[in-house]
Amino acid sequence: MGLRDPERLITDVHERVRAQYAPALGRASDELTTPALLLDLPILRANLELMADGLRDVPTALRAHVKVHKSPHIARLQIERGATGVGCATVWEAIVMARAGIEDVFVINEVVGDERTRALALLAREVDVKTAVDDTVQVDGLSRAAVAASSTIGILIDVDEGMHRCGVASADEALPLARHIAKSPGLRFLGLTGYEGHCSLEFDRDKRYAMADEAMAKLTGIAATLAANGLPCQIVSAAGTGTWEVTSRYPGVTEIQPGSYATMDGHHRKLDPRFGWAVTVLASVISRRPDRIVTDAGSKTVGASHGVLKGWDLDVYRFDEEHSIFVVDDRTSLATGERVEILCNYTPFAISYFEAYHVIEDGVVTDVWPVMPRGPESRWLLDALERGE
Amino acid sequence: MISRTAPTPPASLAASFSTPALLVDLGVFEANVAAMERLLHGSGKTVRPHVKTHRTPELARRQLGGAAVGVTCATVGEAEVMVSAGIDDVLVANEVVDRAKIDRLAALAARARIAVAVDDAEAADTLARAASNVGATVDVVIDVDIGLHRCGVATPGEAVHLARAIAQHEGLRLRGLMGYEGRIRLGVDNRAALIASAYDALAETKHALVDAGFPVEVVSASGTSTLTEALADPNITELQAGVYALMEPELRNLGLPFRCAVAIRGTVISRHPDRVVLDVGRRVVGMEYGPPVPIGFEATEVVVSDEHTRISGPGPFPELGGHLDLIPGQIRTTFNLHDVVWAVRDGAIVDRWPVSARGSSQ
Repeated sequence: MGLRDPERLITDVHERVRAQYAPALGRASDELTTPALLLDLPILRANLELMADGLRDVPTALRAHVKVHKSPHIARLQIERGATGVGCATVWEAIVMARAGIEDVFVINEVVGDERTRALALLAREVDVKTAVDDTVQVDGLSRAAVAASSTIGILIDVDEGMHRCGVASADEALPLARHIAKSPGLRFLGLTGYEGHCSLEFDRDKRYAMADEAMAKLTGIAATLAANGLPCQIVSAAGTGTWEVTSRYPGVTEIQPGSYATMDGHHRKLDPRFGWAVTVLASVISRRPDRIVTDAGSKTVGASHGVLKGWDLDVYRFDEEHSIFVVDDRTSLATGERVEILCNYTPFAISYFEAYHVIEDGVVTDVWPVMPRGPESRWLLDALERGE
Repeated sequence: MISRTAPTPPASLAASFSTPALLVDLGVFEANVAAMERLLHGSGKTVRPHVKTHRTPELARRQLGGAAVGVTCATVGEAEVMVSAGIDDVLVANEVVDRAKIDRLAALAARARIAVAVDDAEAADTLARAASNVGATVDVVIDVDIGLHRCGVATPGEAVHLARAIAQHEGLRLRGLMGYEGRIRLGVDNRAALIASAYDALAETKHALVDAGFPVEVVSASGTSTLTEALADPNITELQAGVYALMEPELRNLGLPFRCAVAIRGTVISRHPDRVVLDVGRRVVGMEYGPPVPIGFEATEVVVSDEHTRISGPGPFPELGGHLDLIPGQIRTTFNLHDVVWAVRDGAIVDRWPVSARGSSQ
């Protein structure tokens, strides 16, 4: 395409948040205005290292799902540490990641709507773009958009592995859909994708892994049926942070698509405690009473799944929208004005409430990275694509 | 300190629309605002709409007038956005203790009438010095814990003690007191007794302050959940309700004259005989009071994950690519997940307003 400065989209927003939070740069985390979203960079790097180590002895590729963090900067680190591409939930995330220099972007979701198919088709002129389908209506929309943009979009059939959300239910449904894709102009049939998300609600590891194996038996079984009918699957993609290890070792699975392993949270640490808590919410104690402390971070910053205090063994009394309240006694030294870190039970919800991460190294803010695209209002990204920016 | 502007929309509104999108029905919103005005008529009470509900100046402005004298905010950041939008009377119904935030609040008081909740003499002292530094006066209301067990003084004695500390400062003007009982939602055990006890605590504190010689012009309290009770209370002068203008499904059972004005519009991205899946997930809709409620047909089950809502039922479902509207269970967290809200009148999109205070939690 010969874009003048393909990364300007990212650098502009990066510069804006750096300017907004300029007073924070170089400051210790306990001096920051709160609530603030913290990213501990050494812990994040250790998480990426751990995943790279875990995949060293298997041929399975790592596709880092970025919907959790919505950070082009984190995504780049994931690519540096061995991810072959990224997974996205929306076409808008895909545009941002492509602008961050990532050349293999897979929207692991059904893309419906003219503005979205057009965005994807335009993006496919610049980088390797893939998406998921479970219906001929989506296929036809994508085909029209790709033909109009003179591009090619890679297509994977979404398989319902047991979550009962999107996805085809069987080989009987997958086969005619694959044939339809194969003869659709502008599209290239690449294989299958599935997400065994129902397994991530099972905290017993053995049970969870057995459930994942069952899901993979279904997924690879459908791949075998397609291959037997002349439609070989180049890619069979699956798994999340709760099943990355077992699924990456399942014969026939070619890539895994975990996301939370990088940032982590309470829910995912119950599934795999080897990964560290890289993202937290910094709060201040704004009221101290004999039996409780009140902080300025509530469900509007930590998210509906709430969290616990890092380094303090205090029971949660309640989370309100702008406050969290913890039970204390006279042995708790926390005073009004002190900073505390909240470990989120589910980090994605917290990230959605912030526009930037304070990047922490050795206790000091070294950079401010944007949450991007913040969404859901991201239509401007299509305008940017159309203007060739 | 931090201002946010949504990206400039293309010339045509329709050309810039995409789902998931946050919608407000202006006809319903205006009827709710008018209904609140009727409820207050002749009561001698005022309403100070809590704008943490929507963080949207265009909506806040349309709630003012009549018995609505100013707005309530939860954070200094919200107050900054509202003052910048031209609203000149703001109560920050929350404790502000951080030095940098106190300085911002004092700076704001030089531009608008600002009141803030206080429950600590040291915070009052810092606030007074910050106000004096910029030659401003900040109104203060003493925050009373009337059963919320969050911030607030615990006893009338503490309130009087704090009032004495406040009265010493030139930069502060004691206006009265506030408490919040709006979390006593329908279905809470002993609801009537809890509300009565909350109002008793307000009355006792008020009388203690008056007896000690302090003026109590303002007794500020109540959310939409306790509106009926607050209207009947003789001491409360000002209501901090916010949700009334937009409403949530759960509050419809209160028998108040308000209807739900907010919807999330989603697109059907996957369609099956027993279900459809929308592009509406927890990243765009608040779930603290349950899943969003589909408008227009019966659903047997609504399951919301990060990026999707799965709606099961007998149908008939919209076609793949069709739109479907859902009423969010919790609108306050929902607004905070959106950059813009689309204004709808008689079913047609007529405007697009920034949720300017989205993320203004500092």
